[in-house]
Amino acid sequence: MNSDKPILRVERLTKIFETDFGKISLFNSLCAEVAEGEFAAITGPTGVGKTTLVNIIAGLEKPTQGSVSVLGKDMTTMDDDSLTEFRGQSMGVVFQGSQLLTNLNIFQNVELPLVIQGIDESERKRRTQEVVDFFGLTQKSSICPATLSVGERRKVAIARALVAEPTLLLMDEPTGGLDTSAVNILTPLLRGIHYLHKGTILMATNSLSVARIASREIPIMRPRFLMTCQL
Amino acid sequence: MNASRYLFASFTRSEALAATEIVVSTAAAVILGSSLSISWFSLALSAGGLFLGVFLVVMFVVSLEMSSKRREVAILRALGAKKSSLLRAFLLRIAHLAVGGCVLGVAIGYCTAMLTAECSLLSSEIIGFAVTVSLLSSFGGGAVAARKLSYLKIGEILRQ
Repeated sequence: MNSDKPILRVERLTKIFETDFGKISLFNSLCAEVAEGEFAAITGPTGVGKTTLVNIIAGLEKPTQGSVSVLGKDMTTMDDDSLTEFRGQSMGVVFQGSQLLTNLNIFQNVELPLVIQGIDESERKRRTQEVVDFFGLTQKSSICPATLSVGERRKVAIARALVAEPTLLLMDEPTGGLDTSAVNILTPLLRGIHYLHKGTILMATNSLSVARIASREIPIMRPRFLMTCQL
Repeated sequence: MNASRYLFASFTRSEALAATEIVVSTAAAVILGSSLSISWFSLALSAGGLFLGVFLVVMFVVSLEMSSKRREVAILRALGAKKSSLLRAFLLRIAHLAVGGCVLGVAIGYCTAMLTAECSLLSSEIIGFAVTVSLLSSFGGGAVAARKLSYLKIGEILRQ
């Protein structure tokens, strides 16, 4: 399944944030590659910029320096509309807080990427039902996300990211904020997703036990504080 | 993609306020325009004031809508929805308010003018003028506020 062709290439990536106390530099010229079919984990403690890196790869934030190429396309130079279209077609993103639409039920939330892509209704319903069944959400498909547990909401978010069969699946802390039993349910599911999805997965996590399910780790260095002197 | 379905459920109080403002301004313009005792200068000044009110109220209400829906907008954008389809959803919402407000405003203004002896200059031109300016000021206010959509920082919103 794993070929050496890189799906994702990060070159000399740096993101600088300005704070009241000076500048903070994240990644410090990070270079990384993720091959097709690979399951890689971005690891590091809280605050090193894992979410920022996922956002930059997804094209939701711009880096200060460096470039990110997904499927050979430079995400840092694409215009907003092309980037949005490319993200919708080639990437699935699981956000840290699940980020489900509360006015839609579970089925409609999972179906959303296919609606945005303009897939016809019968095909859309069939594909959504398949994913909903795989995640064991069939019984709850007509209820609203507010009534679900955090773990179940996370499952819905992963199902939504997978429904359009993306080439690259990005997951930001898929087990973050979950109790041990929920993590124990979700971890084998993530392994199963990699086996069945056959695409490339990049997961950000600060849990070493969750990172172990990935085939490779990409550790993020601690941020540097760039002090500014005021005369 | 019909983004309206994913952004809006029922009409909010602030939207009701905007609709009321459109109704009152359109009705007032029809009544003033058909009045015998008002000069052109006073009419222009009154109509200008009324429709400036519509512009500002619609702009404020759409800004409020944008602020309350920023999370939903960010999710849809992150999933691949284009800015143009979301903008269309907001403009469609303004169209509902503006058209509904104009129809009701013209009806109220027309009935009032018919019942008032002093309002004998009522004509289709006056109604047309009131409707055109009302629609233009509604869409103007809405479009100015809807520009905010371009400046939303999706990454930051989804992090909150």
